[in-house]
Amino acid sequence: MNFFKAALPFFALSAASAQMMVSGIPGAPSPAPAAPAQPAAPQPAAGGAPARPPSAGIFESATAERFADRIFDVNSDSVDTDGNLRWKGKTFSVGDSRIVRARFERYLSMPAGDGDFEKYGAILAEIEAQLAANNDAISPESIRYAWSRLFDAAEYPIDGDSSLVIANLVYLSWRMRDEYETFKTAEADKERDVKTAKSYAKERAEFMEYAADKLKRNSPSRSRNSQSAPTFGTADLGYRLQELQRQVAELAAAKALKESAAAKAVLQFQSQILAFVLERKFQQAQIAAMFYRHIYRGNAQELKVGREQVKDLVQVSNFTPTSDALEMIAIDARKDVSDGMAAVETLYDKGDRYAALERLLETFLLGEHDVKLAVFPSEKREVLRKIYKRATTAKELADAKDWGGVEEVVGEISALAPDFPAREILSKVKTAERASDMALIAAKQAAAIGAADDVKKNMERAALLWPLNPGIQSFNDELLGLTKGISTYVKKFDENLERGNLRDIMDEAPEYGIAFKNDPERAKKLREIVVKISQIDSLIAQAAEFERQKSPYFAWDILENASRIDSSDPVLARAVARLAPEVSDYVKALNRAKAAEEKKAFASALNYYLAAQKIFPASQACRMGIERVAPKY
Amino acid sequence: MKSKTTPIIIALAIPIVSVALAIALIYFKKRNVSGLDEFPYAAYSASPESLRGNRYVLEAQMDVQLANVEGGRVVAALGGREGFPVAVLVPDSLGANISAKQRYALVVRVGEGGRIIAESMEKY
Repeated sequence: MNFFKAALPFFALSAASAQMMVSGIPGAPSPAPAAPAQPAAPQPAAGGAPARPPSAGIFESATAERFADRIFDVNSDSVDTDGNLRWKGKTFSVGDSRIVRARFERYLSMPAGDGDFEKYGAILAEIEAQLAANNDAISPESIRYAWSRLFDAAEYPIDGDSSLVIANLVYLSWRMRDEYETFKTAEADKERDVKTAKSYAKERAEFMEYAADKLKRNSPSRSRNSQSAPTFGTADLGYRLQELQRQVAELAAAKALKESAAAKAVLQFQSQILAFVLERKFQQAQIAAMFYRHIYRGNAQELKVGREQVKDLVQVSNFTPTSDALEMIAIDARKDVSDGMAAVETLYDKGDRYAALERLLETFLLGEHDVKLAVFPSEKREVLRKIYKRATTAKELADAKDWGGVEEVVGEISALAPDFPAREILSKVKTAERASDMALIAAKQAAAIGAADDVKKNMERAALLWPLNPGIQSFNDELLGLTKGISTYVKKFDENLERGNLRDIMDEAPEYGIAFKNDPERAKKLREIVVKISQIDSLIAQAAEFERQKSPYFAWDILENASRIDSSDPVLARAVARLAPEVSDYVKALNRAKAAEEKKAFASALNYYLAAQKIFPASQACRMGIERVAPKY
Repeated sequence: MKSKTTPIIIALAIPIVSVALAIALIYFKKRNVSGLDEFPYAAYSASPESLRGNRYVLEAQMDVQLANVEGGRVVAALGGREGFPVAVLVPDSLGANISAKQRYALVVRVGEGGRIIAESMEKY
């Protein structure tokens, strides 16, 4: 998972757009009445990855994902699907994405630390200096002073009593050392008791051997040969042996007690250092490790606890877990956090606030508990929070396909963060809007010819691409109005047709189309008008293009063609009037030719056509005129 | 005794005579042997019918044959130094072999409807 992707997949919106850009507006209406848009066949993804379903993927695309990654997943592979942060080969659990997001928002909303944070940082720096690794000959007094400063640090809320935890561990270690000495004394006493008991037992046994030998020597031969053994002193010997056993057992117990007291303190200390590292409280981990190094020497540096966790943390096979190694991880992480915050400050001051937000997010994941993040100025945090919140809003709007809203919010973000990639987003928004508009146009065209099914399909498509498209509502209103007054439309159509107001009919062609659904005669006339006006419009557009390309004679030639379709069209007349001054010489000759041809003065007409052709050799009108009149010369 | 001014007079007379000869040549060129005027293209363009019945000399370069009609063929020619386009009916009776880019001096008549009809033609 990518918690940022999940958090702000905003730019799923780009999906629509992206797909459109790739496939050229799927289902986009053609000028002719639209056929139902066929979804594109799923394309197998490269590398055998499953293809997206075409319909479901309309708002998803690789572009969108890349975009979301870029914005909200500053390092897409830094957080895995289980919420684990991978950093320099180490893995930290940052927790559930929603919680992390909430923590980041809370961090942005919190007031920056005042001077307290700096004082707190100064205390920790002092402790670090006291316990620095190069200060190996540090005196117990200095350690005790550093320890006492932990209580000062614990006074600050940002510390979260971490310093107290370290202080307690140090104290526990010292108490353990005292207990260890006590246990060592007790052990010596027990060893002495064992020696005494052994001595007593040995003495008694030797006395009994001596007594038995003497008794044998003084007794008669018959008695000497008997098998009976003397019993004098046996009970005492047994008692002394029992005493010896008891003393040995007590000695073993004292030794075990001594070792367990030592082990318990070491384990607690090591566990806490590891816990600090795993919680990404790197400064605390570093200070704890420093204390540990000065309190415990030699073999105690090797970690006895949390080997499994350490192996998970550092996924390197030949890594030997020691407290020094944890300290190095902590130092490295703190340097990264420090560098990250320096980058944030620099980017922000340069005006690259969006990039600053990215870097802050990145740094926050690692250095959430670091003082450097806490002292980041509140006014800057507020600006970044606004950018972050607006991006979230934009994402929600994009999910709702409210492209107008997205445009507005993106504009706000751009005002706050000039480096925000607004153009990329807006182009995708525009593409989605345009696709919706085109579907709507297709619906209107379908309505113009009375193709109700196509109207429905294209309306659905327009709504899918842009549910809040204002054109949909107005078209719906028009359709609703139609159902109320078909007879009105019939009357209006007839009147306009009689007056030759074809443009007026064309303007309301969709409405007429619906109204004449059951009137084939008028529907046929309507279709002819729509086709005729569409052709004229198309030719006018071509002429305008030639005019733009500084080819006025070509433009005129095209308008001539349009005039042959319907010379009375007012839009065409305006286009002709606009262009005529530019081609007056040609028009004059051509008009004379036409007039002469109409009068059947074919010889004059031919000469005028030739004159006009000299001005515009590629003239289609001249060529056709010459072909017409030359045989009649 | 030779006059000192004679060579000077001769030197001045030579260019004057040359210019006069050139002007005369141009004049006689325009007023060809038939004594006809050059074809007035501007007047024809303004009102072809107004020249009906007139005869002119048209020096033109043949461009393209436009059509075969009864009694002859219609040829597009570029007349005068400006190369104005005119359509000329060349009757079959002239027996002319017309090719593109050839230059002719034609005696033409403006007929009904402004039709320009070649009466004679001479390559030059």
